[in-house]
Amino acid sequence: MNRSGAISAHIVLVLLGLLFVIPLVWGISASLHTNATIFLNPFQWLPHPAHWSNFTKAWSSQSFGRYMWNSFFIAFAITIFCVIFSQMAGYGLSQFKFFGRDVIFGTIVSTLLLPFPAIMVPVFIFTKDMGWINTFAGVIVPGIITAHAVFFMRQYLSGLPSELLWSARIDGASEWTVYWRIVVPLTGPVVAAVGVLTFVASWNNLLWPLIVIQSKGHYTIPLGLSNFNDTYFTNYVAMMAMSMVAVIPVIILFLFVRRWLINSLMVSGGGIKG
Amino acid sequence: MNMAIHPNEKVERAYVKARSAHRYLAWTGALFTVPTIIYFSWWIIIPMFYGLGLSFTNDSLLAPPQFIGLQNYLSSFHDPEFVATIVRTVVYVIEVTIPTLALSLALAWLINRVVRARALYLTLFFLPFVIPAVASSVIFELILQPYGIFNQFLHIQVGWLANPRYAMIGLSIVTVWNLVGYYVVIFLAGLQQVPQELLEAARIDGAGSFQSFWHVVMPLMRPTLLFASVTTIANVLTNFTQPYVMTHGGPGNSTTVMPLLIYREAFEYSKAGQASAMAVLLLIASLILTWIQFRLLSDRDK
Repeated sequence: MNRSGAISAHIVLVLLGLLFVIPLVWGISASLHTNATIFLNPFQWLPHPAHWSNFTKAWSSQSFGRYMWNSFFIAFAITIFCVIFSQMAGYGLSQFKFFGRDVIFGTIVSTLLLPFPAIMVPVFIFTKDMGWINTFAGVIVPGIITAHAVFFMRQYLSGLPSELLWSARIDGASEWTVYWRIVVPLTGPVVAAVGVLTFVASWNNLLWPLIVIQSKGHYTIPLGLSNFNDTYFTNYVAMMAMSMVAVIPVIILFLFVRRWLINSLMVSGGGIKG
Repeated sequence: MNMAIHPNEKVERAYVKARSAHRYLAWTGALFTVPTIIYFSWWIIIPMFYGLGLSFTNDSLLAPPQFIGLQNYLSSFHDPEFVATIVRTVVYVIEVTIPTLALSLALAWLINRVVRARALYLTLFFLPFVIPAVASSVIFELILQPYGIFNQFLHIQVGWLANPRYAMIGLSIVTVWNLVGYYVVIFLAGLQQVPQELLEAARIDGAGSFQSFWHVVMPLMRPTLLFASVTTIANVLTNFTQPYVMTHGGPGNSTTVMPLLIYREAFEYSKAGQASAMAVLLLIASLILTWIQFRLLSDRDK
């Protein structure tokens, strides 16, 4: 690692990093333009005047407050269930030996390769049979556990020293106490990572809500945005303004847990075996 | 006499106790996985077989389905548009997977070389991964317009999404932008597992930067590369939002990929039986692509 090598690496990284952020910066800038000035050549990066009213107009054109709340509720519920169940499964699959364990884990991991569109028709039929079409339960329940979450939890918990668990058991702790008092508190970083990835995936999901939700009272943010695209096709700035509103919560969340998220991903990523 | 058999009894008791403790622990472990097993069976495994069953019927989501044998499959393959969609989907997979892997591996390699501002770079590249796909689709739909900044920057005028010849490329650009950050993190993790002594030894033997990357790092990175390429393919084959929002599958059918086609058949034309046959074919396509990945990347020396 010589000095000039490091400097040229920095230069390339800064340039590519800018290239990666430009679309977002452009989005913010475009949301303050008018539909007439948005395609100016050259593009005006600091629109003058800045049309902040794009946001209020777009917000009140549909019930975005309602969509926002629905998205929060759905993403939050999915995240809680996903964290609890994947944590339990990750613990069971990493610290115990029982008949069929490896087959179960192998099956779960192989569903990572399964594209959701390949099973969405039967999943829709199952949801319909349970009477959950156009309900929050219908959006939440079919998606609560992901193979990714179980995989990450198991990778992380495999590194847990079993002596710790045994010393508690010898002291007379019940299995539930061992789990609740020792395992759960130790999983903080991976819970943050799995939680954020699940929350973001659910917040961003369009396909499944599009299939299950029919009434606007149950719309999520992505549904509201894609609805924009159909009905107000030429109103680019309104669409852009609401896209930026949809981006803000995930960016804030991401910046808060960035370090944990990236570290946990690195731990699981580094542990990948062929 | 009693004293003589006592030790054996003790051993036996301890053995029984240990065995039941072992069994008890096994049961506990299994109990922890029960919710997940129920979930995966009910929402993934059973639907998979149910879908296979549906693919032999004329189900319309409205009336009770009737068995029609292989008709859905035959009509799919006799439809040139369906065959074109499969080809297009595979092209999309290739157009996304290769740039994503190459770019994220290069970026991880560069980040691994610098000491300062690592967290900043990782954040910059990871950011697009958390942006809602609908929002990034809207952003790029406008950026890739003939008068958008992408063309302004390159001083050209191409309808990246309006011209059937370039629409898939336009779509791939967005998907790559979205995915790269995630794999930068995965590859960086893999690179940090490479022992520094090996690189030192290669350097002493006179290997250049590129040589040591190709001959020392790459073989050790194979498992990570395999994981990355297999999950990228799964990601691309799942991708519905960008084609749906950016192009609605058009112009013409030039960006209609399998997920979009299945969605339309099932939920717009109410042909759930036909859609299920396509879903089975998508599953088979993903298995074939995964198998190719394993053949190309798995370590044959093992």
